[in-house]
Amino acid sequence: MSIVLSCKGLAKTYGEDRVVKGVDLDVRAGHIHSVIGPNGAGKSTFFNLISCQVPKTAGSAFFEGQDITSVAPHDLPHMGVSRCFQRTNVFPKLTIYENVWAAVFARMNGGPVDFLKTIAGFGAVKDHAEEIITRVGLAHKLHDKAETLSHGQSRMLEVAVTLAGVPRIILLDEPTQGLAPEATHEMTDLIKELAAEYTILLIEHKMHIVMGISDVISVLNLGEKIAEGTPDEIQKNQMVQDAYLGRLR
Amino acid sequence: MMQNKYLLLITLAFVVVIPMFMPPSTSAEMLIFGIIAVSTNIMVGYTGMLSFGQAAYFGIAAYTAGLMLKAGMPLILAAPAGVLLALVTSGIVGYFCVKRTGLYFICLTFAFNQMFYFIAYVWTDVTGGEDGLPGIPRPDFLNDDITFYVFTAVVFFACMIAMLKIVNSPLGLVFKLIRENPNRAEAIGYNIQLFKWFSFVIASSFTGVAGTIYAMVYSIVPIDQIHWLKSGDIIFMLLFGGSGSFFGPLIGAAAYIWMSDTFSVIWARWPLMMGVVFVFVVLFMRGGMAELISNIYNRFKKPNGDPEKPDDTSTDKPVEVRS
Ligand SMILES: Nc1ncnc2c1ncn2[C@@H]1O[C@H](COP(=O)(O)OP(=O)(O)O)[C@@H](O)[C@H]1O
Ligand SMILES: [Mg+2]
Repeated sequence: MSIVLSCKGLAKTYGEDRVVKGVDLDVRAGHIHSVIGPNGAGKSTFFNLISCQVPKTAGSAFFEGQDITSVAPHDLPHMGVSRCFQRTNVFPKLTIYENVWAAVFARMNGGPVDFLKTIAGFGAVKDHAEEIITRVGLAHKLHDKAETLSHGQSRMLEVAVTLAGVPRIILLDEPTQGLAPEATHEMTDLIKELAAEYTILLIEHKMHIVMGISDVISVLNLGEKIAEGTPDEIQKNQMVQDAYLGRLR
Repeated sequence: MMQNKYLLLITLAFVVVIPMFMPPSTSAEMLIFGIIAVSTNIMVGYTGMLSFGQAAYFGIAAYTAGLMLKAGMPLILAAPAGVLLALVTSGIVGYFCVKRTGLYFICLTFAFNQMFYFIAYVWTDVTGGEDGLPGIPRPDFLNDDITFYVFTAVVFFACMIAMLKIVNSPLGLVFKLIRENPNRAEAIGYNIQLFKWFSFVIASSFTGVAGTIYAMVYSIVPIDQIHWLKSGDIIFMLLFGGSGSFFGPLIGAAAYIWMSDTFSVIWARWPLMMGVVFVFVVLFMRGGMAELISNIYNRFKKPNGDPEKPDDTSTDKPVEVRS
């Protein structure tokens, strides 16, 4: 399978703090590629570099051959890259439908004139938005405000808004964070399902979750990639065990 | 949407009734400031950009239209020119302002307002400086005060309907996204600086429409109409009326004109009163008159409706300015 996302020496320094220290990482089409590592390993920062949320210090990331680390953040979804955030980051005073509709419309509008038409007039956008909302199990909440959702439902909405961007690769930052076991299960099932359609780069702190669903796992520790391989290989890797038990710190 | 139609009808009723209690020119002034308040709210309440400089575009349009009318040009030229100049200047000013957020944004809008004020102040040959720009003629068909009021009302409704369309369009939704969470709005693919700029220019252009009509009300453009204090008054209208709804600012505009009209003749220090009202609203009525009225309305309506569900679930509305 071909490589769709290729990171080369991606690095971020905050003052003296080298948070991400030159990470190389290749993601193959159709894979669930997980990035794991202890808290503070630099996983989210690594994601923020790929998705132009923070300016990089060095390196680059190529998606389908194009460097995505030097474009404007609002161009990224239009290049087929969509991400979710570790801390739920939606539009609290708007309804679930509006949240998702807006994200679909961002990609499926036919130019400036469409922005002045009526919202109800876009059948295809409506259908796509409703399909995604149904898929994440929020259909019964369609016209509730996002701020009224439970934590688990918010995480689902976060993923829904991410999917709405009609992406070819989705970056998920700890989608199961803070979820109860039941909800965690639902979320992992959804990710598995999505893997049939999208390439997925998944950040996860909890090791047992990624073991079951990943094709490839990369391990970050203190800003460095210390291991990479199949779940089996990672499970056996002594360095990874040490990192998780804190012995490398 | 249905609710908006009712509110539009109530507004229409008020527009018909106002001149029975007030001189036609005062009534016209209410509608003019109504346009300003609602348009400024597109920026403040819907997009979350607090501007302290909207008097600039009001003044620029008023001076432009006033000067052209004085030069004998027809209204059909003078009015669009006034709006166009407000649009162009707000386009230039907005370009710089939308690069900043929060306090810096407010300060920039304020500073530009001051700049335009000083230009008007020192450029006495053109603007009349401190004395204002007097002697603006009305076109013949508007000479009668009642006819002028009707004309103002027609423009007022055209503006209201256009602005309602805008806030209910995808464009209006993007404005709300920016208010709610600019970072995510950007992450899902909207160029937020561009849309903030649109919001700025749209709000200022409608304010410009108000300015061109204002020039004809008393046939004079006093210089305080471009002063930043007027920009502050506009924000007062939003807060008093309630920036949390489309129509709320209209209440604020009407109250402002009514107060200035009633109290300024009996007491020169009347702005002090406005200050007291302002403090009261900010401390005890954060949603403004609109929220107060909708609360009372809901209390009466509740028993018939579903008590579990709040009536006010529609989101085609802006959010109050809260600090
Ligand atoms: N904006 C920032 N300024 C300074 N340090 C930061 C910033 N963001 C993250 N860091 C630091 O970078 C390190 C990695 O953070 P993060 O990428 O969030 O880790 P992870 O997602 O793996 O838990 C942490 O030590 C954190 O304190
Ligand atoms: Mg993280």
